Amino acid sequence: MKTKLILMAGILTLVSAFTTNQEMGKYFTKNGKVSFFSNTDMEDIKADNNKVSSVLDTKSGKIAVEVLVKSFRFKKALMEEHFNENYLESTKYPKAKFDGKIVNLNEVNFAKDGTYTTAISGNLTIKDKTNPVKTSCTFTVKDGKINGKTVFMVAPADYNISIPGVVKDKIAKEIEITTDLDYEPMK
Amino acid sequence: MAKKIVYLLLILAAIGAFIGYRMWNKPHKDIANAKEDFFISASALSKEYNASEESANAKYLEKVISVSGKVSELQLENADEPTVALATDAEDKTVQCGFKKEFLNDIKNLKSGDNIKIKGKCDGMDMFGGVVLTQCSLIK
Repeated sequence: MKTKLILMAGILTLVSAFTTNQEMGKYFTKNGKVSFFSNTDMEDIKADNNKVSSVLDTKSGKIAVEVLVKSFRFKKALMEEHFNENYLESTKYPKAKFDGKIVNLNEVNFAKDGTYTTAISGNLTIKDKTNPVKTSCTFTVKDGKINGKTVFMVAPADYNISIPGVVKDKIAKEIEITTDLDYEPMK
Repeated sequence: MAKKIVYLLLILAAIGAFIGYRMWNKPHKDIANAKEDFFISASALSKEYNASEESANAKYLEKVISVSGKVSELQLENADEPTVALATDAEDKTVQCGFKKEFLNDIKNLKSGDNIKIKGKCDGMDMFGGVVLTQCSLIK
């Protein structure tokens, strides 16, 4: 009888050790934010996307982000139309993706509340082009949740995004992309 | 004669400028008041998308869809786009419905299990097999 109890206690401890290992597990978001900003002397163009999905694996440091292009919202309807139909061809290429990882996982302690800035690198795919991207990301760990923020530049020319000559001066050669993702633990 | 031509050209230019101005400032499509292209249950929509994303996109991408279903949960953490997740027959799949922040009051009192109808624009499928609708409004 005693050995059975000890065995049960042992199994329960093992099981709870695995389940409370949540901080070392996977996190996700379905409502992350990605914005882009183009600044020229002629005009500023800005759009926000609040439907970004992402998975962050704190054990391996892997990050996957998917952006539905049609969820980008512009103030001007005509800009949104041109963006979708002419530049990104979003009916043909509905998603933009980032697949990468935290370069030095030991620079971040996901088990401890705090703010950590570290390098992430990976591949960014827009339309049918994939290019390597390296940028710094700031992770904020608080109360079991993780926020990830990045800012980096993207050149439309690198992704087969052709800007017609008429509006060339209205769109920056490099667009600033800002991401703000609030992750929660995967159940 | 020359004067008449100049006047004509000026009028044409004015019309052109007016049309350009109107196009530049044209409003976003009013999804809430648009006639839906499809009326479908959350389960059926999710099933079609998870069976074939490509076929479903060809059919639903950019279209106005009225979806009926049970509330799975409210996702209000992103203040810029309060979201209602509708449940489907598949346990882990939802239809994600993003509302403009002006509609927060419409949805914040919804409870899990409520049967509701939502109209929105279909943006595609996310990495979790969830169908994403934006510009959503609650159909009373």
